[in-house]
Amino acid sequence: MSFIAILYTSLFLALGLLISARVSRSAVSLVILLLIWVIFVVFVPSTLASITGGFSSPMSTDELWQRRDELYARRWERYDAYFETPVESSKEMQFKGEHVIAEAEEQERVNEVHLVQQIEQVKFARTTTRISPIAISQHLFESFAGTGFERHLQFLENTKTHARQFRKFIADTDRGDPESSHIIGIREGMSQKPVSPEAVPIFEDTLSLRRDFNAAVIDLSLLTLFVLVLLSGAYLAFVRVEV
Amino acid sequence: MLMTLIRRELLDNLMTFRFAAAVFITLLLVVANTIVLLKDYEQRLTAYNTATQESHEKIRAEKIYSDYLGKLVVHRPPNPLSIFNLGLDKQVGNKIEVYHAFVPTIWDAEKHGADNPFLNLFTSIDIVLVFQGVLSLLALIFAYDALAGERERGTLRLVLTHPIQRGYILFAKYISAMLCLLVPLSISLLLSIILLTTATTVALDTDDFLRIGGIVLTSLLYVSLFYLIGMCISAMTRRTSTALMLCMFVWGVLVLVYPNLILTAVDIVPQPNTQISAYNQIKQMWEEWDRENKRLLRNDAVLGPLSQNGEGWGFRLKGGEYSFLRDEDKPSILLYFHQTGFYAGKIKAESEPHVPRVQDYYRFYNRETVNTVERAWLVRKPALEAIYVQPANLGQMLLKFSPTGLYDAATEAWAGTDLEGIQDFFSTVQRYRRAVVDYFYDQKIFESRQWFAADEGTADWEALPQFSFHRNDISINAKRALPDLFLLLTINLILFTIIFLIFVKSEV
Repeated sequence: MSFIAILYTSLFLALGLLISARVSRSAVSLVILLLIWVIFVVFVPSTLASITGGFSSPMSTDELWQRRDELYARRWERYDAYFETPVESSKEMQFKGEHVIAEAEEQERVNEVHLVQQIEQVKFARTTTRISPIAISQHLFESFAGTGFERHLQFLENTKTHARQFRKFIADTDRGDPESSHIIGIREGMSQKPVSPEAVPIFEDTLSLRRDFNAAVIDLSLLTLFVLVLLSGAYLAFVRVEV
Repeated sequence: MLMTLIRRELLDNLMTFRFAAAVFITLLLVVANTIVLLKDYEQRLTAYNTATQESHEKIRAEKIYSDYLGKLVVHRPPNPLSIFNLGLDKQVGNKIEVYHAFVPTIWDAEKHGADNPFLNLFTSIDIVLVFQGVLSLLALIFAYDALAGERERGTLRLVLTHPIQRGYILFAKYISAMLCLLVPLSISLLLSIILLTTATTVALDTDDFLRIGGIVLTSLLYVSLFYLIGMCISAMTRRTSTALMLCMFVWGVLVLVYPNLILTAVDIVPQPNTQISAYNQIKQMWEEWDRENKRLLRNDAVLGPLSQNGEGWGFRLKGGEYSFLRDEDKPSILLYFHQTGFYAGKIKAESEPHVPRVQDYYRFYNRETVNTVERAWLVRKPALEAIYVQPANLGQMLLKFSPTGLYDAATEAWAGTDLEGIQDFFSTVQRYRRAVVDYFYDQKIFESRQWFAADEGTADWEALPQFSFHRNDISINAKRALPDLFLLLTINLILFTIIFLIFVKSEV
């Protein structure tokens, strides 16, 4: 983090040198630098991000609920239609189990689409803000402190992994019981044997340092590039300046 | 002579690079942010309209009155002037349930149609925030060399060889710089107003234009204040570089450091112990009421006996579809209430003789509930004020030691996005709840058959009082903004007097 702070300071120092070498009056140099500062600190990280974020419009929460309600209603229509005629007890349980699983999968799919759209919108907005060294530094600090957007994405991934593990655990436990009907999703169709709490998978929010570093590499390279370009610019401007 | 001086100063300022930069930066930021904020406002308005329509349909789908919990919902419309100062308009919840068993407050509100929450990573910038940061900085850049620069170049000595009063020189400099700063301010505001008026979703009335006028006036006083701070520094220093450094330092402290420091300090101030004691008092009231209710049920031949654990209901009313007992236990907002419901789609003939007794019970139950709510509110209201409002007021008061805080408070008051402006909506909701309760009493709805059964007529939602909210008229906004405006004006006058005294006594 100290290295990022040094790079960040060097960037503004190089920018100051470049402008100072190109401009003959200190007042003009100051105004130009302030103008650049305002654009990169105020405009790019917030306004530009909001503008570019507006290019894509992910499903709103209302739309998500509407879609979920539609799916739910359709699924239950099928359920009611199935039981319009008398059904055998074994088939009934089988159908109920399939109904529960299919409904959960449908809801999960639509939630996933909503989440992916939201994430894509933010990712695009964050990419555009990379033209500002301030935004790059912010991304870097977030990456190394483990408090940024990438970290949140890791958390989401960990929860998905845990959900998969938990489902597998339920299916495996049920498979191990010969008395069970192996119909996952409904109480009567599943194993009734008690489960040891120790055997239940525990959620672990693991941090992937490699992923954090990979995310930071692009930003770090960009920031270094900015510093080098500005320093070279300042050097060239100073070499050509007439005293 | 004064006119000549003003003309000279004006030309000097207009021909500078900083003037062009000031116009460019302000225009870029204000116009770009207006477009973003306008889009955001349109989204919020669409979400509001959708949510209002849905709530309207949901309540009308209910057949019995007791099912109105969670269905009688009112929504707060977005404020079009939040484009100028967002204030609390977006932060505070905009959806609140109206129910006889609790008094709705700002802290109970939820958000409807929330957009992508990840976008909160990017801070929202409103027009006032642009002026707050950028125009104050530009005012200081215009001011730092106003006197120190002339003194450094020796032109001030030259000017003073003419029979001109020093006050005239100061006044000319002030007027010309303010005219120059007025250009980016007025052009950018004009453009944003054009954008607002051309947007089909924004409907501004005369009061809104007057409110915008108030914001412009406050902005002028704010910019003037920073110009005078810069001029004061310029009058006290002999070198422009020293003046510039001091100006930047003062800007950093007043605009960036102090407001954030105060907000952090208010956050870490220990909370009063009111919360626990108030919550316990409210809980005690409800427990008392609960005991009374259970005692009545236990001894009643029709309603009792209670189930084994004493929590269920034993209504001898066949045909019921469900019954429930519900506790809302939220110490953080001091909300505690009991609710019971019994929905009988069609009451069976054998239960018919028990219906009048159940109706009697509901009259007693609902009246006692409303009475307990009123008593609990007497404890809840001061507690909520002590927990939430007093620290907010303390923060607001401390922020007024900085021109930025004064400017923000005054523009929020003009726009109606301040705490008081938002509270106006919740006061209207509380009055509406009272109107609904009064309507239920007047029409004997609590004890009606439609409270729990829909077999002999359903609930008439059309006759229920309708909710409507209109923003206060301009006089209320002015009344709230004027103290801060007056304070800004006073500081301006004091600073000008100080600069005059320093300049008169200084040796050139």
